[in-house]
Amino acid sequence: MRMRLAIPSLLLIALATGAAYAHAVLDHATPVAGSTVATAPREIALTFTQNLEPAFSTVQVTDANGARVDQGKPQISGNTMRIGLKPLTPGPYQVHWHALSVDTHKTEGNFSFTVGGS
Amino acid sequence: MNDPLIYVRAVHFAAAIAAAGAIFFSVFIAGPAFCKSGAGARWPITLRTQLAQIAWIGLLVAAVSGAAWFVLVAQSMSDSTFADLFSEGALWTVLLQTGFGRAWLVRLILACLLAATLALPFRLRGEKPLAVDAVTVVLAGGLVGTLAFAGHAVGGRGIEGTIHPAADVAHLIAAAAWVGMLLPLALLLAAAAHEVASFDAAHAATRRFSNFGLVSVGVLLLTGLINALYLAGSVPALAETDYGRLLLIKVALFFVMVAIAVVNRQVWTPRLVQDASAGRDALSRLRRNAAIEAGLGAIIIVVVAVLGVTPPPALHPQAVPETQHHSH
Repeated sequence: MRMRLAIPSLLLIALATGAAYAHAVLDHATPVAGSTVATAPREIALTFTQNLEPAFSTVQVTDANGARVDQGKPQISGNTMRIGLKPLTPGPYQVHWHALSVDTHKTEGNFSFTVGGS
Repeated sequence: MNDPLIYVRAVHFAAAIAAAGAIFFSVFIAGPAFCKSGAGARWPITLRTQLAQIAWIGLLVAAVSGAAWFVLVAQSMSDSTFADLFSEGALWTVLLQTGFGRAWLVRLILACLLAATLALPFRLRGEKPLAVDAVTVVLAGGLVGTLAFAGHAVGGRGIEGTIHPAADVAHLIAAAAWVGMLLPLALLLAAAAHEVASFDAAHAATRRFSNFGLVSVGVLLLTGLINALYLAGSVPALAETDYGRLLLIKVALFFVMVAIAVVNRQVWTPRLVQDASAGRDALSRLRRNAAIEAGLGAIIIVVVAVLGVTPPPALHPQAVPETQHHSH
């Protein structure tokens, strides 16, 4: 009886310090959210906490006027999503992403970045 | 609680577990116990029929509820209406291009194969009983275990991506074995109640079931903790989130079931072969306890159905200054 309790007890202790990701939350992006970059990026890359379903995950990048500046289809592999960008002029841009995790749950979010003038 | 997916999930879990349980019981418990029943006893044949009926009805209900589950999730994943699902081909995209859809395709194949094995003519079955039994058990276990790929166990990165689903598959099969075999056990005990000569068989069956239950409980504890580690993530989350509180209810019910099982094993099962009157009394108590445990198991199934649509606490530090939310 004592042996059978040992392992569960150890795991319970581990519970106190464990961290768990459950849905595809944005982990980090390039360019970094909220940052200003000197040169216009040719693509953006988003990394999530869970693997995505390519068939139902999308991302859009728009300029200050709301016009789409992304081009091509999103490239999705594992937990990263990248999309090419048209040549960007200096200014603020909005990224809006929709992620479908392989556990069938959807998340969405947005962030902005700025392309600095020279 | 308004989400129809909860009810569909609960029905599907119950049906799959009932079908698998009847099959496991028939192969692992009832068969060996029948050797001990008195010659000419009719009740083993009646029980066999009842188990086959449970397996078939369970499979049928699982098929219908499984289809409904798939449609509901496909609708949510593709953000379309029911009509669009079919007219715009989103159903096929989900079925063939997503992990969930492909898992469901595998489950459909498993269900069809299981139905074919169950329908095997008695003559063919009689020639290679061991092989047929083995195939049925594996298919039933597969049908239940693949439910892991429809829940929160998938999607993790790194080693979690392997360990979590593996633990969940084991968790599901162990749960099906224990909870699913409770109703068949109650039926066996009811059938054996009429003949004192069958108390030996009832004792053998109850002992075997208890041993299976012991292994099951061990597996459930270990895999349950692994799952909780990955999904609840911390002790505070257990008290502070809906998910955590539901998990605590599930664990509490589980321990009540274990307590009843211990009493069954230590007190009532030995009395089955003590003497006729003690045996009769023990039999009815065991039957009642099995029914109570089955009821608790059913409640756990409903809790699990709700857990599946409840966001597990994500303890992810906000790495990006942005707005984001969980839309389903």
